[in-house]
Amino acid sequence: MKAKTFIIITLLFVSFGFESMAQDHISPARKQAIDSLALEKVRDLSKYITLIGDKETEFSEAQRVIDRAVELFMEGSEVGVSSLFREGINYYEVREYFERLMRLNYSKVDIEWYKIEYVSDLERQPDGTYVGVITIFQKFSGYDQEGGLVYEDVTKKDITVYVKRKETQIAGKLIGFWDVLLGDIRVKETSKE
Amino acid sequence: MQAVNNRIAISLLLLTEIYSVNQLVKHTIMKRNHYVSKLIPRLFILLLIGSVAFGTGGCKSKKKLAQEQAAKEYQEKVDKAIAELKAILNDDGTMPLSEKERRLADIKSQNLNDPTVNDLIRQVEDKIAAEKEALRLKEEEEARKKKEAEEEDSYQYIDEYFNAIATANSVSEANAKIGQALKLFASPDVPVLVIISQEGETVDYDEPTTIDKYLNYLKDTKNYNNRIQNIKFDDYGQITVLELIKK
Amino acid sequence: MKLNILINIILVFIFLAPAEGQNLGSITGDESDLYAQTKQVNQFFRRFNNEEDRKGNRYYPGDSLYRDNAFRKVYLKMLFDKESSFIQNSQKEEFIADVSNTDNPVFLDFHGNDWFAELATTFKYYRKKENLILFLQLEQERLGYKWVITNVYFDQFLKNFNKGDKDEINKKFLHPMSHELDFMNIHKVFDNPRYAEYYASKTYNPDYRTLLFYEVKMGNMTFEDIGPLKFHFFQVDGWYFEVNYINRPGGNSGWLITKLYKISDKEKEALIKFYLPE
Repeated sequence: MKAKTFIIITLLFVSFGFESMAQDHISPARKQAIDSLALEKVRDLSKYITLIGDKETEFSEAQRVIDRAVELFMEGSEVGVSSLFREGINYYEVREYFERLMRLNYSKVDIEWYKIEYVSDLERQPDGTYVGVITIFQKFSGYDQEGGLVYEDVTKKDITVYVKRKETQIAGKLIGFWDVLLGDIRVKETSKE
Repeated sequence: MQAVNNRIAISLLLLTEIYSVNQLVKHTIMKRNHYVSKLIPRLFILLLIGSVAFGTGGCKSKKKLAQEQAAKEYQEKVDKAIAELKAILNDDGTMPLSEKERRLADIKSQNLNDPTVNDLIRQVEDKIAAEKEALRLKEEEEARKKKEAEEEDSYQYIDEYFNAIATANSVSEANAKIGQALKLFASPDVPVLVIISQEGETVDYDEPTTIDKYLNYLKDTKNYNNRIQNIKFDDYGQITVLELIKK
Repeated sequence: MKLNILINIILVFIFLAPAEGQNLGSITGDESDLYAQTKQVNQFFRRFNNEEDRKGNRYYPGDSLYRDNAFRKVYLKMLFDKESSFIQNSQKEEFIADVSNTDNPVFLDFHGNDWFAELATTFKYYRKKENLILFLQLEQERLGYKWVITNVYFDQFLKNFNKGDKDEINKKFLHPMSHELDFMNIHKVFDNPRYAEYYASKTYNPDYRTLLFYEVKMGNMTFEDIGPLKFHFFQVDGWYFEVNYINRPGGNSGWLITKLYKISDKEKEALIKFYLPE
């Protein structure tokens, strides 16, 4: 039943390539609504990351949350991580990144997010899809069995956001929606005092 | 003889006019009333003498007088109509719409046929039409808001479920609430639409999701910042489409 | 004049004071540094043009402070790397006065051509790790824009196209009657490969991108990693500046101007030619 409905909904999702041409001039108010929507997806991601990293989260719950988090991303998205004291970037597929996070060998993990969120302009790429970058900052602390802090870092996360206007038919009504998908994430360790 | 009769008639007419003026004044200033009533017989005599003495004026001047009088009256009516129409045009909303319509009808019924008046009538008609349209829209908007408020009240029980899931203290508590909430829906795959912005005819939605996913989303992110905009039910009273709007 | 100084002082205070109303939640650190940091290149543009407030909220055309010159002066100061030894204070002041000139202000344009990205990369070339530099530029295509590679800088490639001995170069030609001999002398071109390109027409210029793509296609070269990124700006007439990511604590961090030079039109042309060969 579920699969059937899913197929029907998928079939109904008709994206009009040319339709996006009509979206050249988006008023500031609409732009702000799209920005907020993109920002909300990033906030959702940060909540999922906190849940996945939390040692209190049961394995099955964490798996489900990983699935939901992966759904936020465009297929093939990667996380590129660099640290201050090592050259180069390590690349992970998003699912791999979340699974590594879930399996981190600490007794307790604290993931906190700074309030600051920086949203770039949305620029159009050749196919008409809008692309932007949202920057957030995360503080990670890992503790051992005795509750001692063994690792801590503050990372800057630059998250790609793809926004595309699509249309679909639901219950006989044509719905114009903004499909917001997250893309590659650049994780950079920030310099300490 | 005819001329004399006419003259007397005009004099009497004038007299009655004076008398009617007197009647009018009587209501307001009693003292004056007394004075005027004393004056009437004298005036009557004076007029009678006058009409005999200058009676040789003939029919022509009488007609002219009547014409002048009529023209004067007409002009007064036109001036009055213009003033009233202008007042309606300049009205900032103090005068009720029904009053504007009544005054316009009065002026129109006089069939003054003066170009300025006709032009103003058209302007006033346009103004009244515009005001009527604005009023209709306002009433419609109010009715819509009222309906929305009523619906919101009637959908409050659904909102409460969403809030309870978003604020649940534990995963198991949230899961129990999700189980209960799902019973309100025809299936876990019922579409959930979220309006992110509305600008005239253009409505922007978030990507459509299903109620099952949406309820779990509330559990995971603890983020319920929408309100219910519209609900469709099936014959069994179960929800088949849920439309939300960003607060 | 005094009033101007006063306004500037007030503005500096407004900008440097930590953002008010910040609920730090469970975070103990002060976030004002993160606000002050120029976090994205996009923010560098917006600050340069005064197109956002100090919290990063966008101004739109028509907003009273959109591209406001008084505020720009403050932002522009913040956009310089204070620890850079490549920036003279007097030039910095002159540059700021120049771009925030009320009569003829200069704004950066994301879609304007005269700016380039310089990306350091590492490749394996015949199994040896090598550093290459890629130059990129934004290019319009169909409904939007994309970054495209405009040039490659790799000393191994350059070395092979080095200027040879002048006397030797002068001898490198096929005489004008060679055709009568069915070009039997053409082997000279390839006998000494070091000078081969001097037999080409004078419009010939080696295209290093072709070499890179060819070597990659042939499997002689494989991409390894990215290194530091910087940007070269030529959008302000008479000036060149370089923007780098400064990863350090404090507010004077992020994408900042690290080099500033006055350049002539001729110098500008030559530099641009290096990033964008004809």
